[in-house]
Amino acid sequence: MKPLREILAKLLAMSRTSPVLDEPQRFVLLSIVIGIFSGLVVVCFHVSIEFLNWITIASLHPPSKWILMLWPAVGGFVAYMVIKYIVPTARGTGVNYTKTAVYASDGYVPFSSVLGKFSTCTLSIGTGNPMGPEDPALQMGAGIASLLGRIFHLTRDHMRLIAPIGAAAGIGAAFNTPITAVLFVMEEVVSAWNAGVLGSIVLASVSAVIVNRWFLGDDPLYRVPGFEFGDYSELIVYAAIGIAGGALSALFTRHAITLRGFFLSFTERRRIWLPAAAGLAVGIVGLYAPETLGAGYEVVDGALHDRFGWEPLLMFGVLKLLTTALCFSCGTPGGLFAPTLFIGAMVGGGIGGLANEIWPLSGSIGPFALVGIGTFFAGVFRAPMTSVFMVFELSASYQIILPVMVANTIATLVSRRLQHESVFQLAGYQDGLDLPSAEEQRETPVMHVEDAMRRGRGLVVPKEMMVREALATVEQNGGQALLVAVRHGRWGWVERRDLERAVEDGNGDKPIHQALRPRPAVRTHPDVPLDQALRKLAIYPLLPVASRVNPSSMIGTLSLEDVHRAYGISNRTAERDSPAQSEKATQA
Amino acid sequence: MQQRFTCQICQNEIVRPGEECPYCKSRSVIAEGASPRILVIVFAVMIGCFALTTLLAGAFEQERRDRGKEHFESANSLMTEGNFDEAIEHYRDALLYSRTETSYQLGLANALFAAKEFPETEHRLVQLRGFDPTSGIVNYRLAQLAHRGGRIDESVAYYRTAVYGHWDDATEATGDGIRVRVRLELIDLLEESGRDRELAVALQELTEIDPNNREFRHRYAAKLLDIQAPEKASENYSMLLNSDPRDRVALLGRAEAEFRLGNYLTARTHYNRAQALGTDPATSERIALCNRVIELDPTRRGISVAERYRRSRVLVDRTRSFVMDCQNPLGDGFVGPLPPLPSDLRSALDAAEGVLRQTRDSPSDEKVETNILLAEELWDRSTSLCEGSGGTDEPLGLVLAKLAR
Repeated sequence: MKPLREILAKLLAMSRTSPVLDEPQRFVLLSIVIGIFSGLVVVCFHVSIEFLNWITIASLHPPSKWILMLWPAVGGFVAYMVIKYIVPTARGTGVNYTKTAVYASDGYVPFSSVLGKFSTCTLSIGTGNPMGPEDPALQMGAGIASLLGRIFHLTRDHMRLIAPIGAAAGIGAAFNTPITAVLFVMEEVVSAWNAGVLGSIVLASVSAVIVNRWFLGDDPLYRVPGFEFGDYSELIVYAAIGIAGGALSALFTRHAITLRGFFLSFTERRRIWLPAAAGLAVGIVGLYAPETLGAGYEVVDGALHDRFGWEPLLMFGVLKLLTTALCFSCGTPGGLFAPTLFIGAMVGGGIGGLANEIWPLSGSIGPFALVGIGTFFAGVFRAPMTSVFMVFELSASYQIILPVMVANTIATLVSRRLQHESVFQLAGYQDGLDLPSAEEQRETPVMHVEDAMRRGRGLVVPKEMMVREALATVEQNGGQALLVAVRHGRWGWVERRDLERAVEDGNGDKPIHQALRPRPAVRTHPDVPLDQALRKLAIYPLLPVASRVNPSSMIGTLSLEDVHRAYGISNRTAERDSPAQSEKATQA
Repeated sequence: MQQRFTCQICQNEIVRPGEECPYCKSRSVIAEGASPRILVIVFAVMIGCFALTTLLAGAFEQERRDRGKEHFESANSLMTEGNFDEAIEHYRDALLYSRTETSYQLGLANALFAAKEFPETEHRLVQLRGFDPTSGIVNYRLAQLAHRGGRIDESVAYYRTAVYGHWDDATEATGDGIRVRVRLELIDLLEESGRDRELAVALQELTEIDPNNREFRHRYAAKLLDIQAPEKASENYSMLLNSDPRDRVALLGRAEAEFRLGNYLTARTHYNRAQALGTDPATSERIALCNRVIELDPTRRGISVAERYRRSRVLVDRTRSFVMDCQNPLGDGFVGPLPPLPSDLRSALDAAEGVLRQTRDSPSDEKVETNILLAEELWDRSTSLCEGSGGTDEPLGLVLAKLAR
């Protein structure tokens, strides 16, 4: 007993003083811990939703249908009241919350939002509101990650990255698809392929999925039948599914956001009743089409197995679109992932079934529903890569890649054409957030050295040139420095003032290499981003731009003035500094 | 070792964490290191969460199983009542709770099949087959669906897998034997699609499984006749007659088999025995034909050389007449020049006429052989001439065919 007590005492003493892991080690360990915690929470979340669902709308001994009709309204109302009076931090979409943590609040996500999302989304989804658990799971993951980051005392830089790691874990556990989770977070939340954070995101996502499978089994979200690509002419139908998915997603985004804006203009007292009203509408629709209630995974599963004809599929899709848009705009807690997958599958299956009637294809609706799953998702969230990989990961079929790529790319293009911003971005604007979108970041053009460099060898002189001549060359070219060819493929630099000083000192008729000592220049290349070149320009006044193929051959030069010119700064500065402009500015 | 802390905003080193930074007055002050105590606490909480989730997930799993079972039992009773549509809904509900439960999936597939929801049935079955490729019942249902869809090759393959696949004990124990039932369906399919060789093999397998089953042997023997295997057919009919000599169908079958083998005497005997058990015009015709063939056959054992010689001459005469009829199918009613005969046929006809002119010739075995060869030559050379002429002499044809054998 005594040695054990001594060991414990030593450990306790150590625990009071020394840090055991350095920052990168802690970060990796934390990714796994975040994955495990997120997985555990998502399992509990899933179980809670199911339990509530069994008690309410899926009871084995259901009460009258009128009571069933009221459950979504009750769930929506109670959930909204919980948000309003107990956990206001659970308001809004998980993606925007996580992005805010990344871009605005140094990775801070209050833990109360985790508890809030858990309780309110359980209430709303469990009672049949047509929302999904994935977005709340994403936010819960981010909240857990943020809490752990704070507990583990991470630096600010790492804290900013911790929320997306948690988000990946949350969504991975909810979808049971680790690749999709990683891609979605990289594409939608981080908006860039950051190698530093990718490893941690993967670790967290995989850990979360393992925990989820440990408790709930290996079953994927949908049991996808074997996919066989029949004929290339079927691609026309897949393209039509892409067009329909894209157009409907744009319609959904526009109308849901407009309606949300309209409801946000209501007074707070009136807004309280909106989720209840939306829930009532959901309940009424649910009386006639119970398939539209809840997340609807089993209905998608049925569509994949040819359970429904094309008419009911299209009807379910349209009804779900309407009820989801209504609930989303009224502030009913829950995410949009599951409904978008549902609508996509129904529309895809419906169009496929209709095409089968007119123009007999493979005879099965399942493949069209499967391809359709990603189209509406791609259109609403503007995450085409995620949507492609999601369907690929769900189906585990290589053959599906071609139709999915066709349909999802078309859906994204059509949706972008009709509606420029994604639903998260627009919802963010309405909530007073201006978060960068993935598309915006992807499409901002990056300037390169070749866009700014001065071509030719105007600012390059041989080392044997007289100082006076060199100064004339600089003056002639309007530069502040000059490159001196020291030997083949090597350049040095001298500043204009050094040359002037040398002339003043009477060394104007001496060769440069004798009068001055040119300092070695660091070369750059035409394809290097200007941002990277600017870092060098902070140290060197002039950079030789060399060819990648033949690095000893110079193709131009780059100076700070050139960069300014490329960005249009020098002109504006000149204009701003002109007397007339100054006068105007003063008057203004 | 002293723990170091930095301010998150100004990065200055500070003394205590969790307080306002003395330099920038920020509250975002954090420590740079995590002590083992924090690790211990975090892992303790994790274990606690694990335990809690295990309890919750266990209860959830139990409830899910119970609900699935309840729906499954309701569905099974609805199936026995023949209420397939409601049974389908209950099977679906059962599957919502236990998606991997094979018996639920199979139940749903059976219900869908019974309700004639074939596309979905097939989807479900294909998926089930993915998990268990040798399942007898799954392959059997898939075979039936493929048969319905006209996909014969696929159907045959599924039937074969079903025959050799595994079945649950309850199904195996059913009275008539499920595998035999599947084989019979396969045989029907093979028969329907005209795959006689495969059919004969399937039938043979069936008779090997149950050698005393007369029905299978009857079908097997009949199929052997259909696929031109009279020898084997005769063997099987003999087996049938050994156990029941008064089996009229077997008698007729044996007679037919022997007839095809050229054993007209044996054939006639069996036709006569069948006729004794019950008359029918077809059998009478068959007996008459046998009689005519037997009377014409010059190689029949037990007849004298003179009789054989006489029969060989009759054979030559009837063959010649047959050829002449072919050349002039209208007989005397034909006016105008007859079509010219090929030279080799013409010479054979001349030889036949020569033989027929020698009325006082003494009979011998050599002459019998010569006449038979001449009749066969005439018969062979007349093939192209008599094609489509409509003329027929069945006994003559049968005798010559036998001689050729």
